[in-house]
Amino acid sequence: MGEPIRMAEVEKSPAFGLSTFTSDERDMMKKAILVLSIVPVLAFLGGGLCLQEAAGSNGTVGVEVCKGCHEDHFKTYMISTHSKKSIPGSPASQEGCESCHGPGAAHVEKSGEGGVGIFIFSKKLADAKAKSAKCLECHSEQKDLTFWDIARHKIEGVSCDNCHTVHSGTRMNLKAPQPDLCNFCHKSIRSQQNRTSHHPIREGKMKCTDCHEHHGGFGATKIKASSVNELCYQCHAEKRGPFMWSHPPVDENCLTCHVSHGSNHNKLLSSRVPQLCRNCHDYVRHPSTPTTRFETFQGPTPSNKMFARSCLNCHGNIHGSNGPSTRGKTFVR
Amino acid sequence: MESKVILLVILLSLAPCWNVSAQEKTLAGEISAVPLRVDVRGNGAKFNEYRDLRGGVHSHIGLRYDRDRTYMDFQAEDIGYKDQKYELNGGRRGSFRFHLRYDEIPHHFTFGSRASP
Repeated sequence: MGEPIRMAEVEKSPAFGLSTFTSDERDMMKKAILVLSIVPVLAFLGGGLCLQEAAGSNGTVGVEVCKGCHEDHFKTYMISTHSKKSIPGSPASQEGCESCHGPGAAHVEKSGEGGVGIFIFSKKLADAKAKSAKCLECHSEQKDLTFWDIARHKIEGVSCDNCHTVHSGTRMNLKAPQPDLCNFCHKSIRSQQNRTSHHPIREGKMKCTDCHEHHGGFGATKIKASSVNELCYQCHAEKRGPFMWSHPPVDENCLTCHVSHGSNHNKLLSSRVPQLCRNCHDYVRHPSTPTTRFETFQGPTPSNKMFARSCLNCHGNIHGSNGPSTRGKTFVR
Repeated sequence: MESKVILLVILLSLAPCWNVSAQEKTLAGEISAVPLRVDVRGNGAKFNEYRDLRGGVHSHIGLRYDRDRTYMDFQAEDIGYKDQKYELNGGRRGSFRFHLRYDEIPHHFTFGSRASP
């Protein structure tokens, strides 16, 4: 009961001081004040340390730090779409370089040393699956990547960075324009494109992606249509018909007679006329007897089968005819 | 008439770009004109099967307008020739994009051939 009375006395005392306490009490109070003053300091320092740890919990250092050493990469990054801060979800609106390459604090601490968790889009340091997965963290919802999981490119180990680069200002961030980009791997197709009869690909009037779905699709060649014929009819509409007299192979598949990328025969034909026609018309009306000297240029009466367009000299409407007679039936007019 | 339509489309497409804001803007362009003399010895029609590589001045114009979010890219090649090409790409990143293309593709089979009477 004596303690409260003393405190009351202390409060009332005009000359309040430590002298009113005993020496033991003074020591206790000094310790209490010391502890109370140290606690906020420790709390502040501790909090600071915790905050520091929180800021570096994802180990990021910021774009400016990266720029300090990787200035060339930074410049090419800045001209790309990825550097646009106003695009929701872009690397620039997130962690900048570290959005794709991972946190760089450890990399900076070790003075730029490798092997500290930095993700590098390199063939040696990361496999195709990991590299594509990094891009798909943001781009998985993209419409044209719907069939990426069944894409031949993915199955064959092609990753996004084989064709695209983040560090570029080119359209679609492509590493090279088409068809050079595709031809870099598809060398046999490049060879076909350079044949005498070809689609206007090398002239720059057509692109590989006009016909093929490079990010995956259905069918062996991932064409952008339900069938080969439907794809061809998108440009060659006059071949679609309907015709009064249709040529069955035309309805079945254009590739029965034609090749798509290039040929050394006219009109992208898979072989020369009349041999091409004789593959089916082996003994109808015009006997496909072996061509003799009388049917070639050498004889006195050279055959029209060997001149100019051969069978097509007469059967001009070979894709189908609307001629209302036997001439139409035989595609003569 | 065609050129007027093309010009109108370009101007209408560029209209959203004039919405001035504090965002960073870039307007870049290039114009090139190459005088060309062509001497074909052989099948001229095959040489020019899908193109019009005549002697003359072949030009290229490229214009690019890039704001932080809006962009516009115009390309014109071989202006005035039979294989002339105009291309306009633009859009608003994260919202929409458009691609307008006018591309003439000649297909020459033969030059100076005679039809049978």
